[in-house]
Amino acid sequence: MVPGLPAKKKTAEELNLKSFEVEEVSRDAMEIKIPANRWADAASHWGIAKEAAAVFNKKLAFRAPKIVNLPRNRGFLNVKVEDPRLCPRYLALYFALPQKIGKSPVWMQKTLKACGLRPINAVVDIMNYVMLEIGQPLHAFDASKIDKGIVVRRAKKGEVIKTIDDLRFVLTKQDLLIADHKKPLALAGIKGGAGSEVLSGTKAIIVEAANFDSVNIYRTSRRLNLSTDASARFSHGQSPELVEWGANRAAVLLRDICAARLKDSVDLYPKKQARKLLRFDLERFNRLTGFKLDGKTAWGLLKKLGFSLIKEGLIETPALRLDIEIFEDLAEEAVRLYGFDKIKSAPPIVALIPGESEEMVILKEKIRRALISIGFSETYNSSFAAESDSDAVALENPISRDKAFLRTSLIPGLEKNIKDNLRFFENIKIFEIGKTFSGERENWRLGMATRLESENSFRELKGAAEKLLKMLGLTDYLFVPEDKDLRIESSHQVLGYLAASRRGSALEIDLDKLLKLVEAEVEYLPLSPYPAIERDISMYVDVNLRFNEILEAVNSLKIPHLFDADLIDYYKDENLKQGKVSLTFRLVFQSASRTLKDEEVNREVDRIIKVLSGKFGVKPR
Amino acid sequence: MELEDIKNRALAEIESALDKSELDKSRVKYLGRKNGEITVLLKSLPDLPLEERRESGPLVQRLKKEIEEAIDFKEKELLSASDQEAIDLTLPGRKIKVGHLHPLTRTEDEVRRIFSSLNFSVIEGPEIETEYYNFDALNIPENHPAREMWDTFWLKPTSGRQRTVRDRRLMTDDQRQTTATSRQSSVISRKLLRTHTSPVQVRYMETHQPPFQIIVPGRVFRYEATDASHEINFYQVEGLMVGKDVSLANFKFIIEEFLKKFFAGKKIEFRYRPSYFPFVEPGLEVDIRLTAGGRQATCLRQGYGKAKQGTRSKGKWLELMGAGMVHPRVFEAAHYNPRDLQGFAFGLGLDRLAMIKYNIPDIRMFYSGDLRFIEQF
Repeated sequence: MVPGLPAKKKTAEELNLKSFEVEEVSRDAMEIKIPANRWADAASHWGIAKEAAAVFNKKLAFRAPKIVNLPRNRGFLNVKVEDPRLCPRYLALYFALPQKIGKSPVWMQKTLKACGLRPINAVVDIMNYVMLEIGQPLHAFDASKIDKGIVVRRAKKGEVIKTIDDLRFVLTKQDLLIADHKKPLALAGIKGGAGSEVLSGTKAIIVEAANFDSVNIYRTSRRLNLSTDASARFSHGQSPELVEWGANRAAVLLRDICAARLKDSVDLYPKKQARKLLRFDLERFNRLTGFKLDGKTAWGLLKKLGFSLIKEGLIETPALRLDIEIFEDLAEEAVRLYGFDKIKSAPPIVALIPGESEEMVILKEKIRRALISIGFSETYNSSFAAESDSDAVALENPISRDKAFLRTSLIPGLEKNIKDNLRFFENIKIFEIGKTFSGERENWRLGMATRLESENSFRELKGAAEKLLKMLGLTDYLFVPEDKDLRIESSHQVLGYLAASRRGSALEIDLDKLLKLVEAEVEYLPLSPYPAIERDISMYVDVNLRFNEILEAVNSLKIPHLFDADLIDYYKDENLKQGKVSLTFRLVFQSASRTLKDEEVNREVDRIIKVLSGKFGVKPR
Repeated sequence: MELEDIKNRALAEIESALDKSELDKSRVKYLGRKNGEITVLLKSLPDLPLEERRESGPLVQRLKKEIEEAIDFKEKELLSASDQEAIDLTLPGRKIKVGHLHPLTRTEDEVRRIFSSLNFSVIEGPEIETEYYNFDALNIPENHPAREMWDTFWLKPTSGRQRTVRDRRLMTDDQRQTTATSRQSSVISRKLLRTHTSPVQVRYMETHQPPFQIIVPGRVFRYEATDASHEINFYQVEGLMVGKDVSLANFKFIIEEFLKKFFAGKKIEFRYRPSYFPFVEPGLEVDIRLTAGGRQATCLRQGYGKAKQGTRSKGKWLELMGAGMVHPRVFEAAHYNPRDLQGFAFGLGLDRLAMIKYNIPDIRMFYSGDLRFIEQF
């Protein structure tokens, strides 16, 4: 179609850069990915030839034929279109076949096979060949099987059609049928029906070249889950102007190959496709692209693609280019043909307004930095989950049963990570930051989990949580026991829960709540120039006594200069008396104004022991 | 004077002591019970007149303490020096345990850092989206095969409440009229998992005025079979820059700056191809080709079998992102006047960037939680 093109590989490369993605080049075929907006004009050999001619600046040698002295409305054909909105154009041609239908010529069969179609007989092959070449789907009926005439109508509710491949479909009023006065002949724009197909003995045929409403075809094809070459083309939208090109080409081929005689034709095309004129503003084009093209160059590019210049700045689009609707569409045509690579990159000139990150972005980054610094590694888990609690969001179309819901918590994912990693690691400390979903509300969460071989996983995790909250600048937080878990609270809000177990513990914190509570700034506390005095006190306490109660009792004494009280040892030994545990506190005394004396510190320690013994019956060791 | 002299001599001798016996000699010489120089001085104190005694007493005491400390210090030093001989210096360093960021976090951090340096703001958006923001507002037509470019997870409506949510922007004129006349009809914007980060374009523009430039990193979802290069959840980074005359030439500048910085150390070539995304016009695709420059990507740890080094990324054109100039209908959806504005948008696959950068052969590794993988980063 385009003489003088370079070798296949070079052609493919250039088309790739200026037109469409060429996916594969084999010996006698090229697989080209046509974008969804270009099926109307480019999903055909002719369409690609037009592109190639423009890209390589060559002449298109292929001209679709025009029929002279077309017989029209001679009475062989009777066609009625009930709703022209669903079928804007219906062109039917009546041919007499003087000879038995044989095979199509070898060249045609080769082309069909290379494009993945199976040759059947000369008439059917010509229909398919024209669709590939011109882009217009065609269908041939055996004229003798048609009762009185053709009606293009909506199906009746529950009406059944059997297609040529013997599949039965039950239809609705939304579906469009090609029918005669008794029975359905074809599912319009999708597939022919059984009973009216062309066989080798067929004496006369009716060739249909039609245009259908794209949305209607698309819906029917989706609902019936029936997709064909024709339905794909009609679903994308075709120009009614293409109908004529396809019909004419088929007529020529039928004459040449089957010696068919065209006896009659009907063309129902009540509302002709309007001409489309668009302004092409050169100054705007250059501003959009960053080019500095002159008018001659820019209009020259469009002309190569079949656009015509009506007068300066006014462009008429080719009839088949349904995708061209606005100025920007024209701009794309010119810029791609000229070459994106010819655009010279240029730094934007803008007001220097500082860029900012959303607060949540910053918080997440801080949390990540803090957690890796205390030895936690980060995992990413799937947003999908199997189980549903009552608030879980269910998917309409899950990909599998174990992914039928959205996750409501990060903890199951982290627990699975721990389980999977136990084969390779003894000590695991991990976290994930991600969205959870509950009742269509989504929520940023932090999940953390620990599993330590030798140490207490729970205390490790609690300590990490405290460290993290402090590093984030949150000072007033509480851990409140609730059943077997710890509730993490701040400013009377529940931030999350820590689920404790010796072997492996996990926690989850609501980051949307946390974000509102953290104050970013940390204030400096003056360092005391005077030495600190440390005293360790060890004691046996009842196993049911909570550490927190002891600590509160100590704090309530308001001991002067008591700077810090911390648990440094906790154990339950087999050798110890039943129901007792051993605790060791470290008390740190320090004054900001003087060096403390040993005696005064000892006095306070004695006071603490006395109070604890009295209150809880603890025994110092 | 005498004290000063003793001090200088004593400290010098102690400092130069080579072993413990030499140090002991100095100790005896100055602090020895009988004839140590300091001891002698202290003994002579009571013979001095009161005035002098008051003055030099504390001085001698202080000197004595100073010499004692110097000897103690030296002793420790000599001791640890003799210790050192016992250390096997070829012993391996202790394995220091630290936490590791996920490679996708590292990649996102890097992307954010570079774009922040180019004055972009970082914005996020919801993972559950409406059909309106994910498709309609982005000029992706309903009932057209174009929408099939995005295989979508749809959510089941959770309650009757959602069914009646109306979005007037979605309605055709016909429908608007129907709602005006009858309270029955309603148009629902169905909920879905966003298939791309592009909906945030419209969300952001609805509440901000240009000029601006933003990036939007985030998780997105596609209903498709998983394999080495497809996951049902993965990450994208959307970019959007809008102003009076933001052009394709500006896009080229920004994206090339970004990619050069991101793949620093490698030689990088760019290729631009026409493409189709309904929310941009013109639309294009950006490919890159990397050739190893000074630095080559190396496997951080030797694993079993050979890492598929460079089979993906060396010398081949790699599809990296879709991009283009914001379609006027997208501006209209955000209630902007498209005649006054222009801008570019792009969508980067974060997983793909990370796979290229770190030579990772399979996207599913990111979501495996396997610490042997994560702790390489």
